[in-house]
Amino acid sequence: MRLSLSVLILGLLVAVAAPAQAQRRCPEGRTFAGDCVKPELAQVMRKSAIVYSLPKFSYTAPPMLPSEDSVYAVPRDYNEARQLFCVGAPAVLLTGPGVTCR
Amino acid sequence: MSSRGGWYYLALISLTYSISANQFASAETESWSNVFDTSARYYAWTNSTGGSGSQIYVPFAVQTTGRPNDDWKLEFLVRSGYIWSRQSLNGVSATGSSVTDTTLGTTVTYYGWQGVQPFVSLNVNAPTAGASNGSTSTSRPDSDLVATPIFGQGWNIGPSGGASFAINQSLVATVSFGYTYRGPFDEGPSLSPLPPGQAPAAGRLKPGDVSTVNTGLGYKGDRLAAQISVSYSTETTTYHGALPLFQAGDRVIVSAKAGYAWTDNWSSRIATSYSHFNRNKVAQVGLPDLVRETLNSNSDVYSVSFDTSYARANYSIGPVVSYLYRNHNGYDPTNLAFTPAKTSWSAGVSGQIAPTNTTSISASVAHVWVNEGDSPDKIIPVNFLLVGSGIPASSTNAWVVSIGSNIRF
Repeated sequence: MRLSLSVLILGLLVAVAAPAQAQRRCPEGRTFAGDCVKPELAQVMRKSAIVYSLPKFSYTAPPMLPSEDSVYAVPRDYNEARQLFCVGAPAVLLTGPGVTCR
Repeated sequence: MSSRGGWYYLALISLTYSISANQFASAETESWSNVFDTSARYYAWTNSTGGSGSQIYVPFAVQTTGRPNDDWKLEFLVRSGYIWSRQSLNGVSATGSSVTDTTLGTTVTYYGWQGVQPFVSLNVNAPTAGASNGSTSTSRPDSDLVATPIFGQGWNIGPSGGASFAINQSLVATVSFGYTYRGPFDEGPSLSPLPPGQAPAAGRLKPGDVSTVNTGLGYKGDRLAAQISVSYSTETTTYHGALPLFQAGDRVIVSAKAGYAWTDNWSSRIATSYSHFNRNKVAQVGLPDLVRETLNSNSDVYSVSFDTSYARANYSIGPVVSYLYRNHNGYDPTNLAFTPAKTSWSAGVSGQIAPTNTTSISASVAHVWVNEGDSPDKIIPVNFLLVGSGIPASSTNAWVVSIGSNIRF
């Protein structure tokens, strides 16, 4: 009888605790106080941290979805673009004889 | 400013900038999810000095996100694209087209600690573009006009890592560090002011590697969302073959964004950024090592964007305006003068519709005005005035049209 009662109580505890445990799962982790952090905020902050720590990574395929290009845009190094890629060069340097942008 | 009629300017529309819908979207709760994301962007421009051009840029990407268990999150990204560019100047036209480079990225985030979520990421840019930086030089448009002025470069390997600190449900701070190795590629220094026959031969360029530390703070309340980020970068020397070409100065980038929902239907967003380089180290005739340049050849760049949108049911639409100011485009040592400043305005309209719960389609159109001052002709080292090498004052009018799709599966 005592064993049956213990099993019943244990069963009730498991039944109650299991959903509670499932509800504690947070999509983007917990705060210091144990609450769930707002997931969209955490996602944007993490991606910003990654993209802005690689400001010159890939001119043509940055590490984000195309729809996010304007969200995480990093200003170009215009000086480097001129020197290495001839971007924005004066007219004569584009077309003058012997003085061409390759 | 062009001489076109007023109607031309009133048809302004755009998505040149926005805090993406993703910023306000619901988080994924499934264990694994996939996203296919693509867009097609068309740029067309003419300027007052007789130049014109156009570009089609079609980036596409697939992203897979998964939670193998409660403590870990894995994200994988593959992104590539296609570019077609044409530019005409003084009766000469050049066209280039290519697949772009391809980026493979992965990010791992750990959720086992309360309040701190560390993450590591590795991104690799594979040089899949057909030509390292464009098949012909004149097919490379101004980077203030188009988002992607070149087709590709060498290998880039970018490890990064950091942590998010969840101060409370609505306030998150981040600290991260990133390193970008930029591999060599074949191409000579392009902006050579030497006379015919004396320009250096094409060679192998090795861009400098970049180390960056970043910190950010973000808040999201019921109606207000705001974010600020500060980055500081240092860079190693860029080489042309075995010769040191230059070493970019240390760089600071500050960006800030805010959005506010006025009602259930109306919201506004604003974003600003500022970029500054310290003086570069440059090659000096007769000296074996690079020396710090006397005046800063880099430019400070300020930008601000603002949009307001109306959202109802499954769609949103609204106007977008943006402004960019570059205090100068570089320092010309042969003239001891800065090349001219540049301003760029854009205005347009952007919209988005979600036909199903897993699909969204976006579209935008914008008009862009660019104004640039003049600079005199260059004097090359042998006291030869290179007629036509100066930059005349110019104004450029451009259209930017974009359509995109995001599909979750």
